[in-house]
Amino acid sequence: MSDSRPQIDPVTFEVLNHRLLSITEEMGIQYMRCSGSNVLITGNDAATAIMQPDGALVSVGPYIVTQGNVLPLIVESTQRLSGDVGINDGDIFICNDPYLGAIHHPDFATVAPLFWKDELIGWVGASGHQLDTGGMDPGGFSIKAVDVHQEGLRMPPVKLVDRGVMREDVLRWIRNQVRDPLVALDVKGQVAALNTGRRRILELIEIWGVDAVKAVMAKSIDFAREKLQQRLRELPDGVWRDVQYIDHDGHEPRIYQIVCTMTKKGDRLIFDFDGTSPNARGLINSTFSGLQAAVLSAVYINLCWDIPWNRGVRDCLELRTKVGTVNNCAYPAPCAMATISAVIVTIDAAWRCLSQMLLADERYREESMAVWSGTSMAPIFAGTSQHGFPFAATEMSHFGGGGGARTYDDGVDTAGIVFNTTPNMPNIEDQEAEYPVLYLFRRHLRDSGGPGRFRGGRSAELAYTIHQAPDNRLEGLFAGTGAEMPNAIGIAGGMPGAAIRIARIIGTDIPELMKRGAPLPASLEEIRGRLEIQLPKHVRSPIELGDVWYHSWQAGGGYGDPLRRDPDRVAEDVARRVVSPEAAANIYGVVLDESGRCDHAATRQRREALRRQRLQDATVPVPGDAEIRFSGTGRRTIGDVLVVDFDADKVICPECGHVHCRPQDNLLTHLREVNAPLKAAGPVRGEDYDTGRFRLRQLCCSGCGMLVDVQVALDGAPRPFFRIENWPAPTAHR
Amino acid sequence: MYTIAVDIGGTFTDVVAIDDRSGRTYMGKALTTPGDLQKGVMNGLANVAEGIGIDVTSLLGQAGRMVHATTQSSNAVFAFTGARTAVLTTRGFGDTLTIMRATGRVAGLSVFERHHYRATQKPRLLVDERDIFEIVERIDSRGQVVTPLDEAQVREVAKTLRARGYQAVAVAYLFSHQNPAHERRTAEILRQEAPELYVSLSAEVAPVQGEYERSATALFNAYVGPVIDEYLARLEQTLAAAGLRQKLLIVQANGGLTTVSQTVPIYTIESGPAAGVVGAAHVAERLGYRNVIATDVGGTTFKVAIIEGGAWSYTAQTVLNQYQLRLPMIDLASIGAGGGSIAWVDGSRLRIGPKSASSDPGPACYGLGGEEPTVTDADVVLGYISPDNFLGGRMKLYPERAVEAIRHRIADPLFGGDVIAAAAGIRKVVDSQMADLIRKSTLERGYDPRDFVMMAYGGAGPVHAASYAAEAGATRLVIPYFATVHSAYGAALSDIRFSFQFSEPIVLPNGASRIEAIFAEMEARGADALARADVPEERREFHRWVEARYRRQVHQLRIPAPARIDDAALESLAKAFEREYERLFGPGSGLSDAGVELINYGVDAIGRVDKAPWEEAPREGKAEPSSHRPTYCPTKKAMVMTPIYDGPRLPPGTEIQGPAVIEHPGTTIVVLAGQTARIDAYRHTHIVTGIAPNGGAGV
Repeated sequence: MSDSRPQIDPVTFEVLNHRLLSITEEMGIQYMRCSGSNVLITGNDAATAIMQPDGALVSVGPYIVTQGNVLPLIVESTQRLSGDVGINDGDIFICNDPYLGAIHHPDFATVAPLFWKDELIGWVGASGHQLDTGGMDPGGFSIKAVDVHQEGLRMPPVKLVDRGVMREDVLRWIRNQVRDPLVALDVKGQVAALNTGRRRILELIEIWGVDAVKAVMAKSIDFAREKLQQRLRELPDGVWRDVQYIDHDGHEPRIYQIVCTMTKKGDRLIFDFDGTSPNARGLINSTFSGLQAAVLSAVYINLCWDIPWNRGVRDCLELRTKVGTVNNCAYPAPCAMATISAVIVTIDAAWRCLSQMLLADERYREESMAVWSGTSMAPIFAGTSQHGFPFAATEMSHFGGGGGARTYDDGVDTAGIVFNTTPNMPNIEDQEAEYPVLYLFRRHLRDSGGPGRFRGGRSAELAYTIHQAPDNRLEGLFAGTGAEMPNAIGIAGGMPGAAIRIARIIGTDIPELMKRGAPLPASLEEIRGRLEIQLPKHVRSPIELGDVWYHSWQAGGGYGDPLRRDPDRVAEDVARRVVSPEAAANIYGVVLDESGRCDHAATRQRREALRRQRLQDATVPVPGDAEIRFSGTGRRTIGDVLVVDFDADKVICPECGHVHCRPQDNLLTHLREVNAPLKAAGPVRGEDYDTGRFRLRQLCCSGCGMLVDVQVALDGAPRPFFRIENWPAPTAHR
Repeated sequence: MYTIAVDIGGTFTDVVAIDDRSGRTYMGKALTTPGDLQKGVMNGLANVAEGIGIDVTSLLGQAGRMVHATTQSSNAVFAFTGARTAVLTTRGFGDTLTIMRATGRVAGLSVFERHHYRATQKPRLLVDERDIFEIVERIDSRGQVVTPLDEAQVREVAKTLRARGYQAVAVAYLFSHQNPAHERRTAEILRQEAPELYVSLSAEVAPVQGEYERSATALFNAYVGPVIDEYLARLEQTLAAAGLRQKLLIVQANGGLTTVSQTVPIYTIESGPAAGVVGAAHVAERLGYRNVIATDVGGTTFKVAIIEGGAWSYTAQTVLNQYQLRLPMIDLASIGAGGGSIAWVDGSRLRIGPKSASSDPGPACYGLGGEEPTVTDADVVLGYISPDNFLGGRMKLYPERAVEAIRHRIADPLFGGDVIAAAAGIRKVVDSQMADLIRKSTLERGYDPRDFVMMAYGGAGPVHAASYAAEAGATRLVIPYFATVHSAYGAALSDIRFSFQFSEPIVLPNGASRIEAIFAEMEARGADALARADVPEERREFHRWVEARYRRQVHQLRIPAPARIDDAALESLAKAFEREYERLFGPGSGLSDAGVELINYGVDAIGRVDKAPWEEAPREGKAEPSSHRPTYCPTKKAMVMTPIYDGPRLPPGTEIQGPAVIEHPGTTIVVLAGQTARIDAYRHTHIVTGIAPNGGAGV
C-alpha cells in the first residue's frame, strides 16, 4: 500500500481492536455505576467512545446509538474554541450546547485529550442524559420555551478538569444551575470513566507501542468504510424519498414535515433534506448534531449490522441540509425535545428509504424492516412521594415500542425504541414502591401492530392513579410526538402501527371501589369518569385523588398487504387478543367460525370482495413531482410486490400477473390509489386528534387491488417515491 | 466409605469417588445418554467401580454421600420439553411475561448480536396469552390488600386448566413477596380443584421485588417442575435398588446441595458449572489461596467466576432463553468462545466466533464432515493437542483435515498460505478475547487480576490457560489434577446449602427490630430445611447478606450482614456499605445525604460436611519426557521440538521448563516458553507465567 499508515497484521489488529472495544465498554460500566441516575441507567441513556485526534469515532459503547455520534462534534468544538484556555494532558472538557455538538441540553458530554509524549493521539468521551438542566420546567423539557435560553444550562466546551485536577468551581456552578443534585454525581461518573479510558489506552500503548495503537484505530475505521462501500456497491443505484411528520410544537398543533431524499450511487449515500419545514417555534427542533446522529443511526441499524459503528460509516455519507429547518434549526431555536421528535422522526424517514433500497436486492431483502415505533415520549409525574421525598419521575414504559415487521416474520412486540440497543421497561413493582401511584393495567395494545402479511410488533398501554400520596395530589406533564398520525410506516403494502394517545379520566369511582375492595378497572373502557384526551405536549396539570392517567405509544409498521396474511395466523392473533375480530374481518379479510378457527372459503370470498372494493374506491394517483421508474437489465423484483422485467420491457404485479407499464414509465400513474381515514389501518391511528389533515394513502395494483405501498399522507406534502437506475441483472444469493 | 459425585455434561457423564478416610480419588467417565440420562449415570458408576476393583452395588453400598449434578432442567428449558404450563397473574398485568420488560428481545446477547436489530427477537414463549389467566386481586407496595382474591374465579380457572390438560401452573401476583397470602390461598384452591397440577408460587421461588423476574422464575420452575420431580424420584429409586442407602443429594445453582424432596426444580439449572466453582474454591483454599479466578473452557463457551476471600458471589439476575430470572446462582460471566468456535475471514480481518461448530459435524479435525476451521483445529495444527490423546483417546482426530480447513479458509486469504501463522493467529485472537473477559470480570468488581491465582479446568481450559492467564496479567496458574472431571469433583466437596431471600425497602437507620425479624424468620426456615436434610445442629451455619443502595440511586450492592441486628449493627452495616460503594465506584460516588436503603435480605443456611483429606501422590516415577513432537512456540513464532510428558506418571516436585506439553487423559496442559510448571504433592500443576506483558506471543 502506498499509504503512510503503519502496517498492522490481522492478529495484532484483532487483539487490540477487541481491547479498545472492551475499554469503551469498561468506561460505560464505570460511568453508569457512578451515575446512579435511574433515567440514565434504566434507559441506558449514555454512551462512551474512543476517537482519533480529529474526533473521528473509532469505538463507541453499546448504549444509546445517537449519543455516541455527538462526541466527535464536541471534540471539534473543543478544538475550535478552547485553544485559548489550552488543551493539555489531563484536561477534561464538558459541553451540552446543542449548537456546538450536543443533541439537546440534557445530554451532558465530556471529552478528554489523550497525549503520548506530547503528541495528541486521540480522545475519549462520554455522554449521558441528565435528570434536570434548570430552565422553565423540571426534567429538561420546557414545553413552552420559545428560545434555547429558556431551556436551562447551556455550556460551550468548558474546562472541567485542569491537568488532572477537578475544577470544583465549575462543578459548583453546574450544580447551581440544576434542580437535582444527582447531576453533579453523574458528571463525576463521566470524569471517572474518562480517567479509566485514558489509563487503559496508555497501558495499551506502553505494551504494544503507540504506532500499533494508532494503526489499529485507523484500520478499524478503514475496515468499516471498506465494508460499507462494498455493501453499497452491491445495492442498486437510485433515489428514494420519504416524508415524515411532527404533530405539535409545544405551542400549537402545527404539523412539521421532514422530507428525506436519499440518493445512492456506487459506494456513496447522499441524504438531502430539501423540503423540510422551517424551524418550529417550540422545543421539537433538532440542530445539525441531531440530524447527523439520526442519519447515522438509521444507516448503522439498516446497513451496518456486522460493520463497526464508527467514522468509516460516516465517510460514506453526505448530508445536504439547510440551517433554519426543523431538523437543522438556527440559533436560538429551542430543541430540548429533539431526541424524541425531530431526531427520531428523521430516523424514520431515512429508515424507510434504506429499507426500500434493501427490498430491491434479493441478497439483502431479508435485512429490510418496516419502521419501528416511530416516536418516543416523556410522560413526567411529580410531587411528594409516600416516603416524604419530592420527586419528578419519567414513566419509562414507552421504552417498549413495537418493532417493525420483517420480510419473513412479524415485528417484535414491545421491542424497544430504535436508538437504544438495550431496551428496558421498569417493573410495576419498582415504580409503585418508589412513587405514590397504583397502576391499573399495563398490557399490549390490541391492533397496535401495523397490519400486514407480516404484522408490526405491538406497543402497549397503561394507566395509573394516585395511591398513598401524602397530599393526595401530583402533577403531570407530557412531551410526545405522533398522536395525530402514526410514524411507524409499513413497507411493501404493510400498514402503519398505532400512534400515541394520552388521556386522563377525572373524578373516577376508584377511591370508592378501593374502600369497598371491589375489582378495579383493568382497561380504559372500564374506567368510569370524565375522559379527556390530552395534547401530545402539555404543560403541568394536577393529578387529583381518583384521577387516572393513561397513555399508549407507537407500534411497528407492517410488511405486505394484510389481505395476504396467512389466515390461520390471523385466527391465532385473534385468539391471543393481538388483533380484534373487527380488524380481522375488515383489515385482514379473515372470517372466523364460532370456535375461532378460520373459515377458509368464506375468507377467500371476503378477501376478493375487499380487493374489489378497493378498486371501486380507487382513483388514479396524481403524481406531482413524484415518479417511480426503473432502468436496468434482467428480471428484478422489489419485495414481493413488483416484478421489473427489463428483458420483457414490463413492470408486472407478481400477485395477478397484470402488466402495470414499461420500466421507464412512471409507475405511479399506472397504479391505483385508495385514500381513507388513518383508522383504516386500525384503532389509535390519530382519530382522537383528527383535524382532517391526514389520510391513509394506499397504492395498489389496478388489476387485483393488492397493496404495493401504504403511506401516511398530509395534504400538500410531497409524495414518497423511488427510482432505480442502472439496475444490473440479479447475482447469486449471498 | 466413599463420597460419590456424578455430573452429567453434554458429552460425558463424569463420576468421582473419594475414599473418605484416605482421600484417594477415582475418576470415571461414560458417554451421556440423552434419551435416558440414568443409563449414562450407571455406566459412569460402573466405570469408577471398575477402577476401584469392586462392583457398582458394593460401591453404592459403601457410599457415605451420593451427590448428583444434572442437566435435566437445562435440557428441558433449552429443548422446550418441559410441562404444559399455565400462569395466573394479577388482573391488568397478564402481559408481564410477554412484554418481558422489552429487554427480552436482547437479554443475554452480546453487543454484536444486539447491533443486528433485524435478527433479534423475543424467545419462543413458554406461555402466551392463551395460557395466562388474570385473576381479580391486588396488593399494594406495602403488602396491603387493595382488592381481595376472587376465590370463585380461581376455582373456575382451576377447572379450565384441568379441562385443557395443563400439567403445571405458576402463580405470580403483584407484591406477593410482600404479602404471599393471595398466592398461598390460590395454591390451596388449585390443589383442591386440580390436585394433579404442579403448582409453583412466585413468592416461594423468588420472594423479591420485581414482578417480571419473579414471574419468570415461577414460570420456569413450573415448566421444569414435573420433569425434574419425576426424574429425581426415578433416579433415587434406581440407585436405591442398585444398593445406595443414603439420601441422594442434588447440586443447585448456588453451589450447595439439597435433598431430592427439598429440591426447587429450577434451582438445579446450570448446577454443573456451579459445582466447578465450588471445586475451584476448595482446591485453592487447601493450597492456601483465597482469591481465585476460576476459568472453564468448553466447546462453545468460556466461563469465568471470581472467588474473593474464599467466597463466590451470586448473580443478581440469571438469563435463560432470554428470560430474566432471579435465582440463588453463582455468578459466572461467559462469552461464546471455546474449542468449537469457528474462525472466519471478514474482509481483511480474522474473526473468531460467535458461531460455533456443534459436536456434529464439529471441528474439521473430527473428520465428521466439518469444513470450517475451529479453535480446536488450530490447537491440533500447532501440535498442542495430540490426535491420539483427544478426550482421553476416545476420539481419533484427523490433523490433515484441520490443516486443510485452516489453509483454505484462513491461511490463503490472510496469511499468504502460512498455515502455522494462521493457526497461531486463531489461537492468539481467541485467547485475548478470553483474557479480556477475565480482565472485565475482575475490574468490574474493583479487583486487579494480578492479585488472584487463576485456575483452569474443563477439557480445553488447560490447553489455553497458559496464554490467557499471562495476557490477563495473572502470574500464578493452577491446573487441578481432576480438571477433566472438575464439576463432579466440586460436587463431591459441596456443602448442603439453602438460600433464602426477601425484599422490603427500609431506609436506615430505622427498622432494626424489623430487619432482625426478617433474618430470624429466614434462619428459622433455614434451620428447618437443614433438619430435614439431616444436618446436625453443630454443623449448621447461617450467613446473612443484604442488598442496599443509596436512596434515589439505582445500584444495589450485596454485602454481608451481622449475625444479630441492632442499632449499632445497622450503623456499622451502613458504614460497610459506604466503604464497598466507594471501593467499587470511586471516592465521592455516593450521595449519602439521601440515606442508605436496604432492599433485599438473604440467608444462606449451610450444613457443613467433612471433606476427605488429600492423598499425597507416590514419590515414584520419572520426571522425563515420554516423547517429543513439534509444537508452536509463540516467542520464536515457529514450530519447535517440544518435550511431551505423561501427566499421571510425573512424581510430585517435578519442575518443567516451558516449552512443554503435559498430557493427561482427557486434557493437555500447555506450558509456554519462559514459563515454569511444578507438580505438587497432590499432582496439581502450578504454572508460573512470568512476566509476559503482551501475552508472551509478541506478534
